[in-house]
Amino acid sequence: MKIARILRMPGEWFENRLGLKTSAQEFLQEPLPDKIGWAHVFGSMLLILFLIQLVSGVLLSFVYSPSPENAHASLRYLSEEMKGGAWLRGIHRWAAYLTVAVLGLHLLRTFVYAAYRKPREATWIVGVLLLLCVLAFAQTGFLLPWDQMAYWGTEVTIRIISTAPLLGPKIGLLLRGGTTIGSFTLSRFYSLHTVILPLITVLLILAHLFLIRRYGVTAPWSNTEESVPRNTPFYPFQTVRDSAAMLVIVVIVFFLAALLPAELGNPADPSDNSIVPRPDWYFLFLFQLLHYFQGKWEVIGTFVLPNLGILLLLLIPFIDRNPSRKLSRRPVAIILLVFAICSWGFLTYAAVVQRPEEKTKQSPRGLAVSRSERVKRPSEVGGIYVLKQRCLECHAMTAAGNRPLQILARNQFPSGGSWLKDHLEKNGRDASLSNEQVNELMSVLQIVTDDHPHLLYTIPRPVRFGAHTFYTNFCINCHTIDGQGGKKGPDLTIRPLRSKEWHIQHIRDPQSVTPGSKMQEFPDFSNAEYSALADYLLYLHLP
Amino acid sequence: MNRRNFLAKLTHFFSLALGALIALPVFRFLLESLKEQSDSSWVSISSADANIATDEFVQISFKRLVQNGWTRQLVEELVWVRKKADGSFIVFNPHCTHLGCAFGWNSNSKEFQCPCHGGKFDRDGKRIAGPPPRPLDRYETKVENNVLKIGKLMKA
Repeated sequence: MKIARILRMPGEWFENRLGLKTSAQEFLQEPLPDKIGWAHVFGSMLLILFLIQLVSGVLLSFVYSPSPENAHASLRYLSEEMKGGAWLRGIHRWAAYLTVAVLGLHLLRTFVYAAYRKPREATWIVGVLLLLCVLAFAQTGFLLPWDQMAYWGTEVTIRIISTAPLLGPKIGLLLRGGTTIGSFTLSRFYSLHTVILPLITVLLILAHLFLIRRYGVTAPWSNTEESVPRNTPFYPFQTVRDSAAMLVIVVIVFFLAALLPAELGNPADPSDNSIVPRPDWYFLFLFQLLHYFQGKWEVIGTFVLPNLGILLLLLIPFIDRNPSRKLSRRPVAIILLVFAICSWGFLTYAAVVQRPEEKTKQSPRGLAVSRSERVKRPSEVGGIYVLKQRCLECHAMTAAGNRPLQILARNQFPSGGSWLKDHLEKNGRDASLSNEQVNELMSVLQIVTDDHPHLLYTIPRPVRFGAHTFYTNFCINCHTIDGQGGKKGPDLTIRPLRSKEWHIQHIRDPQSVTPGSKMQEFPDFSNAEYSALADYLLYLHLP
Repeated sequence: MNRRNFLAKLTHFFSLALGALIALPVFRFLLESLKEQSDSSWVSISSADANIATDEFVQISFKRLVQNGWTRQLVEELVWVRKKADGSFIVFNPHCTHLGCAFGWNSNSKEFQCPCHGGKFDRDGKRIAGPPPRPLDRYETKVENNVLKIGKLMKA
């Protein structure tokens, strides 16, 4: 008995000083009006989703590096190299999506029950501010992966913000940190997403909870507060529903994250304008709205309507003077609700239907130096192999050469593949050129005759042969490199670094180094080809 | 058990399940991060017949390709190397086993002296004086095609 008493002592000491148990009991015994039920679990679900975002966000920040050079690479490393990394990103993304969805239901429930009326106006306003925080989280988090969609989507967002009258351009400048999206944009969005918004959100959540406790939960469907008996304690009659709902949403998030991990597109490329930016699903309606207001009316879609919507939401408790809480006695509210849901549904549907075809890249195309400081495409790197083999005996690449025949230069560029084939059949020693070889020559000649032939000089021979092998064999059918090639396999431009032996083994027998790989085996290349292919892949991954 | 108690138990169960569920990815991630990654690949540091006097220590710097998260860097490292009379090598890590200070070779007294807390080691790495808890750390060595390579760091 004595020992038990001693064991209890620290607990009693703390209880005497802090009184946590007493206040927890007060909190748990809060009497709720009857008819409170499953419709009231959304708030708790949002709370657990926020907690998941906090936890998974902190874990993500252990790996993520908020700079344009590293952001994408660090997330790719997380997703592909670290066990459970893809799942973690999936959790963060799906919890975000579900937060928006559950928030919608929470808002809907509060509106339907008219729970925003006096004296709960402040609770509602804080709730609307929390909604804005969630949207700001979504928008700032959108940029962080630094892939193509993130980059171009954020460009659009900042432009939209800049269309606001008066301060708009200044706020846009502040967010972007300059004239183009870059390091400052990323670090500012990161700071907003991980420091500023979480702080504001936590404060608002505390205020929201405090206000809910202060005024109690609205009794459903009753017009007066006093007439409703309040004899259901919060614990355990509502906590059991709350915790069940929380459990369900967490299980859903974890499952979705495991089944459909967050995608990571190609790294942001400011010079690639083939991307059609689209927002995530919850912003599609705003995105679609922009289609209907163009030219000088644009500001209506970008600024006036969204802000009117927010203002209306904020003012609803003051506009709605209807004494009844019964939905059947609130015709204006019903009309407003139906109108809001229908227009959201219509705009979202229209945006989904009108999804544009993705522009196909012209391939092969000439190299713009801004695209990449190094030539990477298989047809271009492989092209220089064919060029050396077939052309440089007679031609020189620059005026500096002293080859007997023509200099390969601008304006003397052959006008088509068939011309090239003819030309080689007439003048070349080895007459037969395959179609792939013609393609390679055509694409490399564009670089040679462009202003930047120097980009080709430094490519080592095995790399050229490797790219040639890559282009003329099966690899290009499935793998994309620098925008060229098929989409079945992963893009090989940015990959975590691996050893040459790893790549050779991987090409020979993918399953042996990556269990579960969908890639087929290629056991029949020569040793020189394996080695060159690996050299080419390593060349792609040079810093 | 009445309804109230049952619902209370159910709440406790759900809360426990919630806690466990959320802890799952956290622990998975943290455990993954706690795994120590030792670099055991062989690195060439010098030509084996380079001008190294027998039984005298020289400091050799070399570059190691280090995988640092998603980046790879060439990092310069130092080692203390002694060629033994039979042509084999002893390679010491240059950090004192006490608190990691860099020590120096005193060729007069034939001992390693650490400036931080007075640790001293003899030519075989054995502690002579001071606070170090163990002898100097050595690398595995091998000579291949006349190139001296070091491998895993061995802590005595």
